[in-house]
Amino acid sequence: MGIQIKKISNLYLDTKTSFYHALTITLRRDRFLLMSAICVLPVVIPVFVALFSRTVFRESGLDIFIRLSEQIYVHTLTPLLALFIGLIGIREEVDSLTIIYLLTRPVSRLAWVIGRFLAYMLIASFLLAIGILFTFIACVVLGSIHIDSIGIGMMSRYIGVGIMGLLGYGAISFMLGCATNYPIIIGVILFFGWEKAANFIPGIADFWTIQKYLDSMFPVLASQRYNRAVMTVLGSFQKELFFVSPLRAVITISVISAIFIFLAIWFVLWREFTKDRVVGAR
Amino acid sequence: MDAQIETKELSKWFGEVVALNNVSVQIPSGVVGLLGPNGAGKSTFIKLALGLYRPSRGEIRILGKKPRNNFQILSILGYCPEMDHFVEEVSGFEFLYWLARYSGYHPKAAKKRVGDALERVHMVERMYDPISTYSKGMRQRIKVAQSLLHDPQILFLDEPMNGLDPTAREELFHLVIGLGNEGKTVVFSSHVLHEVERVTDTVILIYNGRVLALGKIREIRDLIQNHPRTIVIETMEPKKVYQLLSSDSNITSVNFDTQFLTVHTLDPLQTFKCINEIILEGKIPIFSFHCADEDLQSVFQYLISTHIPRGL
Repeated sequence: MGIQIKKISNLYLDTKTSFYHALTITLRRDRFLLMSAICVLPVVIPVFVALFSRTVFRESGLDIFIRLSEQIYVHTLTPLLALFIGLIGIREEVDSLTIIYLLTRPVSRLAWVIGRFLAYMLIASFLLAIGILFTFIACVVLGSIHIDSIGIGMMSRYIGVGIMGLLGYGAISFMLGCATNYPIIIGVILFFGWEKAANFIPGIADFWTIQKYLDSMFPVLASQRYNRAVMTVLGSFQKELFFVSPLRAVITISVISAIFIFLAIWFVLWREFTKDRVVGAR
Repeated sequence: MDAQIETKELSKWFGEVVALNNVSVQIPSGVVGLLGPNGAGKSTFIKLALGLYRPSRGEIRILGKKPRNNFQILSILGYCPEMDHFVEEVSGFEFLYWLARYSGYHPKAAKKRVGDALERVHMVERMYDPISTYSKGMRQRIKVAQSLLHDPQILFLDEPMNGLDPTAREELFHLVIGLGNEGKTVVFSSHVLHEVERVTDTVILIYNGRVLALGKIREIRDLIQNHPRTIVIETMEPKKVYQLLSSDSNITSVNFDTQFLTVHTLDPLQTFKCINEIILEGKIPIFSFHCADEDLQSVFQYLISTHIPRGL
């Protein structure tokens, strides 16, 4: 038998192998380049405002930074990164069926999923952090926000919230990638359909979203910025907000992520990842 | 018999389709051919043995243990799949390197193992080229190489000869025989009888998800020799040939054409003897004769109709 074949699966080594393998796969994908470009794209907005808006009513750098960080980076780009970067490591192996080579080797399924997830977190966090950093610098040019402890603290907090978003959305994406054949479609419906709708539905439906907890971690309270109301011909319905403390929000997202990662591992162990059925099978 | 692989009433179905039905076999060490036409259930059997599928009923054990998600068992199994599943833009070397890492080798050892495996299948020259540039035969070699990477004790080769040129086939035949001689268990799946015959004399006949026979290939050959056949004789005078053959009571029906005589016989050996006599007499020229149904499908049909009890 092989000179260095392990007797039993080594969790650490398997995780490391899966992590580095996922890095090499992800970094050479066109999808990665596309998402890198999208992540730095919001930088042009403050630059555009600085160059072309001359009125006294133009938005300040601080306002633009907050809006871009919250609405573009955290609410839009984190779920996008989770779906498009997160699914490279898992879904491509499943779609191309190269997963059968892995599943017939003594690699821990837990380590394989964790390694892939860590690689996704590293790459997606880096892209998000670079985007927010460049946007921050561009907004500083506009004024009312400075490169000081307050400014850097705010920027760091938004990066932190974004990373928590990547954690939550990423874990759900991984579970979808392992459990379903259409993770991107289901993910888009969940992240951009349900998540947005639930934040307007009166009651506590928003507690079943990641966005609720991310909003709770923002530097400024959500109630101070949003006036969520549904306007209809019968009148406007104001959504009552129930607050969650930032600490509870962090714990909740961590627990949700752990549950979904566990489910992803369970699906890898349970599912039969192979397409070539017998003749006549459906 | 020291059973390396053992199944008990193993069944697998996908929806309403039964891929494998109540299979109970014991596979010994050495090279064993898994012989059956396309869609017979060979790949399903292999995937069950590798733990890629869960049995719908019954069980399969490798060295006495269930294989699914069993790392101890997986570390001694090698698998060359029938289908091409690759990450196209990576090189053959890189593809194998990561699989070696997953098999538990450290980077240096992994590179050495990959080099050795690629040398064994003669792919060293092109090993840094992207897989997308490889021919069908090269891809097949890469698949074989990855299955040998970790020096497995039990190897499953699912239709490994597909797409290989004659030289590569010959090399693979020698490789498989060599592995068998080293004491390894090689399950060699094919739908071509003579391919299996080249590497082993022990076969499992599988058809429609059922194991028809497990035994020596000579016995299968005998069955082929003796089962009813359709023989096509090429001659300028088919009617006269038939008149000469009419003494053979095994012939059940005939068809005439301008140049061909097609006869259906219950005893092909006897009919071949008669044809030989006609040729030796030299009165009527016979240009050629051949069996029109000398394929596995007809053999299996014959085996099912004669050797499988009704109701199975």
